[in-house]
Order: sequence, then C-alpha cells, then structure tokens
Amino acid sequence: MEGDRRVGVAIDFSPCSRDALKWAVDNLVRAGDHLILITIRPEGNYEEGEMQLWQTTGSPLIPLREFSEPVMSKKYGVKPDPETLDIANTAAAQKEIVVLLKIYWGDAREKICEAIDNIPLSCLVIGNRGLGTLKRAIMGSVSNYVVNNASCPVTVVKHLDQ
Amino acid sequence: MEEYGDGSSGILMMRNKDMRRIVVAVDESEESMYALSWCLTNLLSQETKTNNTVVLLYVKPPPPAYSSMDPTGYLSAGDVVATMEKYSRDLANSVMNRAEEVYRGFNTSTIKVEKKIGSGDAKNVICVAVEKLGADVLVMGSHDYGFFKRALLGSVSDYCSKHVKCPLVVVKRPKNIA
Repeated sequence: MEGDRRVGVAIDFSPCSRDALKWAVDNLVRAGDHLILITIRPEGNYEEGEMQLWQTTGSPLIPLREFSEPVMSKKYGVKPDPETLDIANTAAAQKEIVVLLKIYWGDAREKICEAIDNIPLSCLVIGNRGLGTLKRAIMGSVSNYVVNNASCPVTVVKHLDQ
Repeated sequence: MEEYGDGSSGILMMRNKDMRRIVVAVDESEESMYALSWCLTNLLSQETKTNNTVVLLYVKPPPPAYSSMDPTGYLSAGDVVATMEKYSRDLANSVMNRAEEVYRGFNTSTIKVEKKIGSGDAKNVICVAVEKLGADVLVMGSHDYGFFKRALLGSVSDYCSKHVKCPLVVVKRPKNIA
C-alpha cells in the first residue's frame, strides 16, 4: 500500500501539537501521502468572513502555500505559528507529500472524530497535554476521547516537559 | 532527531537516528493481530534507512495464587500447578505463532523481530517493559469496549496512554462491512 493515505494531525499550535506533527513527519508519513493538519476553533458568532459558510462542514482543504500567508488569519480567523509552518514546509519539500489544512468550528473532540469520517483519514496523530487525573476529570481530555471514539488508528504523542 | 531522542525516554541512551524500537503488545485477540499488521504496513514499509526492531510483547495472566488448603479440603496438587503453567506456556506459544504468521506475510528482511513474554497484570507489565526496552513507539489494539465495560473491566489501552512516555498508537479494528 504505497502512498495514497490521508494522515491527519490534530493541531492547536501549541508545543504539544508541534511534537505530534514532528513525530508524524519523522515516523509515519511516506512519499505520496496527504498530510492533513486539522485545527479546531471555538464556535462563535461570526458576522463576516467565510466562516459562516463553513460552520457545519468545516473549511475546505487549504493548501500549504495559502496558509503560510498572513492573509489567512483575517479570512479564516486562524493564525498558524511560524514553527509549525516551518515543520510543515520542510516536510513538504523533503518528503514529496501534499500538506493541507482544514479548519473546523465547534467542540474539539466531536469535530476531530467527525473529521476522521468525513475527509476520510487513514490515521490520526494527536498530542497530549499530560494533564493529571484530576484535571482530566474537570477539563476533559481531548486525546482520550478521540482514542476511544475514533474510527481509525490514533497515535498519541506525549509532550514531555524537560 | 537528537532533540526527540532526549525527550522520548528516561533512559540515558545514545539514541542515534538509525535505530527505532517498536513494541507491539499482543494478546489472544484478533484486534492485536490487526494492530500488528497495521504497524507493519504503515510504520515500517520501505524504510531502508532506519534499523527497525519490532518487539512483540505478550503478557501472561499471573498464575493464580492458590493457598495450599482449598475450602473443599483438598490440598493443591503439584501437577495441577504444573498443568496450569503448561497451559499458559502453550497459550503464549500459540499467540507468538499467530503473530509470526502475520508478519511472515510482510517483507521483513530489514526488520529484526524480538519476542518477549511477561507475566502479571497486563497494564503494569506493558508500561514497565516499554521503559526497560527503550521503546520509541508502542502499538496496541483496542477491544473497543463501551463506556461501562471500560469502567468495570478497566482498559489496558487507557492505562497505558496515561502512563507510557513514548508515543502510543491505538489501533481499532474497523467494523467489517458485511
């Protein structure tokens, strides 16, 4: 089974998701794959911009070139941080893959599971904030929910604070 | 890759770029065999640059600790214990053989395969083994219990996802469409 896979990475532009992206690029992705970065924004009442159009199904798949540009933040309300972009750009150049971004609006857990079915993804990589048991119970863990409810293999990459 | 190597395990090992240890937790279920085959297809194929080692880890349930006096009054005979041990060894062998059949189908000439058998409570043994073996990735299947079964029986993959330091891949078997 060469290429033709859609590997998803859940991104929130934090260091944990950067680790997840780096791991995915180093270990999982092969030439010919589509690397799809998924980011979830909180739901809001958007008066203007294309956000209104895409609230139910998420934004279209945005190619890497486009989301490296600063005009992205105004159009979609998403500002990718330079380190993540750097990793994505290097990966695209070195590994012959297509890198895309898809934005969803709503609850992170549900939207990620939806994304797996809708895009569809062959597998997903997600970071882990390393919350303790109590914090997990209160705040809830996205990675835990996704691992239990996703329909595809999920890789959880821990973020280790050194 | 060096920065990743520093953070990934508590062991002070000179992790070079060319080595990768993948631990796959296997048990008697079909889900873990599927996880093994997924791992071979997706994590390992066509990677001629890195030396990959796949470690198959099977955890035997702990031998039940019978007191020598049963309530029925019989003393636990020596050969009962021996039979139990033989049974669990046979079980371990059959699991390993099934796993071999799975990876024989793949091109494993560039991959070293090791087999390790542990005994005790699966979740603890897996987490300890991952530390000791210096695993880069842990792959396991998931029985796909619902919420209540998980709460009652406990989920090995849940426990491992909290306690293991390396990236964890949980592979669910897709529901077969009739």
